[in-house]
Amino acid sequence: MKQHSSINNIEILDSIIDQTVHGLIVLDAELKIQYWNQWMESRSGIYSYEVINQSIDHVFANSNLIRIKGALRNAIDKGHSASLSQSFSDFKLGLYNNKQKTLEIIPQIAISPLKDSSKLCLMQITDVSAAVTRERLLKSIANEAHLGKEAAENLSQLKSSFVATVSHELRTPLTSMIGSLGLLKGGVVGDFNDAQSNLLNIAYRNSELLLSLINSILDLEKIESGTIEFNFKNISINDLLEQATSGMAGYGEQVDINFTLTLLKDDLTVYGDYDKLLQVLNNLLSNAAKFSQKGQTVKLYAKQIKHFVRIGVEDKGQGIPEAFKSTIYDKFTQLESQDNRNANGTGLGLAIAKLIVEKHNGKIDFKSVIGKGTTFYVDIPTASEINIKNIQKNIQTG
Amino acid sequence: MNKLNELQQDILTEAFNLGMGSAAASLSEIVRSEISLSVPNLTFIDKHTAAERLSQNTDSDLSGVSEGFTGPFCGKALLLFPAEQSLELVRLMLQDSVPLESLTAFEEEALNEIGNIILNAGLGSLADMFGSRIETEIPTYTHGSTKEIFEAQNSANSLHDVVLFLQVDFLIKESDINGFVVYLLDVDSMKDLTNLLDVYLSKIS
Repeated sequence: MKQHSSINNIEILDSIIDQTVHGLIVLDAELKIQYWNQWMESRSGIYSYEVINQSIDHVFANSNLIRIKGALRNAIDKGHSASLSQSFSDFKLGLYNNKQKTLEIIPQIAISPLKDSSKLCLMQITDVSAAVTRERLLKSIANEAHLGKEAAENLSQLKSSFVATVSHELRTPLTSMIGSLGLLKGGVVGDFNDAQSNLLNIAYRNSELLLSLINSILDLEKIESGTIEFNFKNISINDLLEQATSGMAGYGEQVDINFTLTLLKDDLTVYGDYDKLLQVLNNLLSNAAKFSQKGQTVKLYAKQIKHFVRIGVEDKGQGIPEAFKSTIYDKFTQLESQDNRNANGTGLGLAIAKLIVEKHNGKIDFKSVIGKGTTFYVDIPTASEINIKNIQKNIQTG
Repeated sequence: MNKLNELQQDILTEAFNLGMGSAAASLSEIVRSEISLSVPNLTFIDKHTAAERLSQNTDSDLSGVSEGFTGPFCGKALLLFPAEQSLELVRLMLQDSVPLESLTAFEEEALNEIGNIILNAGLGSLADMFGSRIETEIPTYTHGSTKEIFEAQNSANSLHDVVLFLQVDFLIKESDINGFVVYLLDVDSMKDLTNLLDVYLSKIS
């Protein structure tokens, strides 16, 4: 059943219209004003009796009146409603032109035919000046932020290519320096006394360190920019672990650290780049050795966790301080080891390891307790059709 | 579902293309650059099929304009775009490049105005052809999934089950933008429209 509202007298309706915060104007077929609400009166200072039966041309002087009049005509002649936004032209509506002061607002205008009346139409004006100002501000902020982001991206790209070029150019002369120093050390041009040998050794060792730093920077840049080639194939975990420990044996003797290996009972296969995974394990094993005390043991092991192989590198060393944990994978981050053996590090090893593991759809993480030791573990998905497809997709998309 | 015969379809397509011609002229004037609009095809389908067709064209939501109309047949007219196409269209027309992923309030207003011009022109052209008057309501901006938009158009006394579905191609500054004009009608209105077409066809043949 249709409910009747208790508001049915003209006075209440008039009062509602007068309190509206929009300008309401009714025009007839000759575009003469037939109604002018209180909002129009208070905003323009022109009273209703002054404009009734006046043509719209006499009340508003505005070049945009052509557009408004077009819409008014359409409403009267065809019955079409229209919405005129300020978006397409920066148009301001002078609210009066027959008094000294003209108040200009940025309007939003809606025009519609009045139902059940012949040839009358309603024009509603909303003042959107403040909203337009806000939106312009928003646009300029958004544009500035966008330009800033673009500039930062360009700069980062420029920096990467600069680093790559410079590193490459440094490597060539450095290689011949190391070669020459090696020949000197080997006694090719005669023997040196102890003081000379000592200096020569320092020069040789530091040249090698510099070369490894440059190689690391180049590696990192290549992985980050996606220009490095990954040679993915099915590889055996036990084979990889054996290779890693045997490769570290010499270093272990040198620094008096014992590497132990626990292989998988049933070997597993992962889809990966053998050399790069070996690089990751070498880095983790040498870090573990650096932060262990002489005579201690570093354990390398693997175990299966669901669809992953977890490779762990466990030491009983000094542990990683809390403050250092969050930045450990950042570039050029190095923790002081107790006897400063990390002087040989570049601070790039873990950053590179993390990128390599992520290219395998894997994860690198660690647990560490100060004074008790650290375990780094690398989780790599076992080779399966889905995983192989995902990795191949990753490589294609860089 | 009442299908249009070939003649009815041709005459409707022609009327809409005439309307799009005048809409393109108005829009070109507003943005001061050449815009062309065309309706390559139109069809009567049910609401479900219309929703499917609209969703086919995009993974994202739709943005557009809706306005009610009354006359010899009544219903709701909508101009809809995949959200990213509406962004492109408005920004091409406003000659503005805001690095934001959704329309700002005034870009919505601009889309409202564009939609209003196009929808009024289409309906105006039909009204001229039938020698009658089709009144339109003030347009409102609409955004959401096809389902949400269609459901929002239903009112207490109208169940729009039939859809007159038009593809509208915009060519603006070498960019192609595809939109859709959808007239939601109830079954009676659809009959009224086909009757009007038959009367018109009998007059001209």
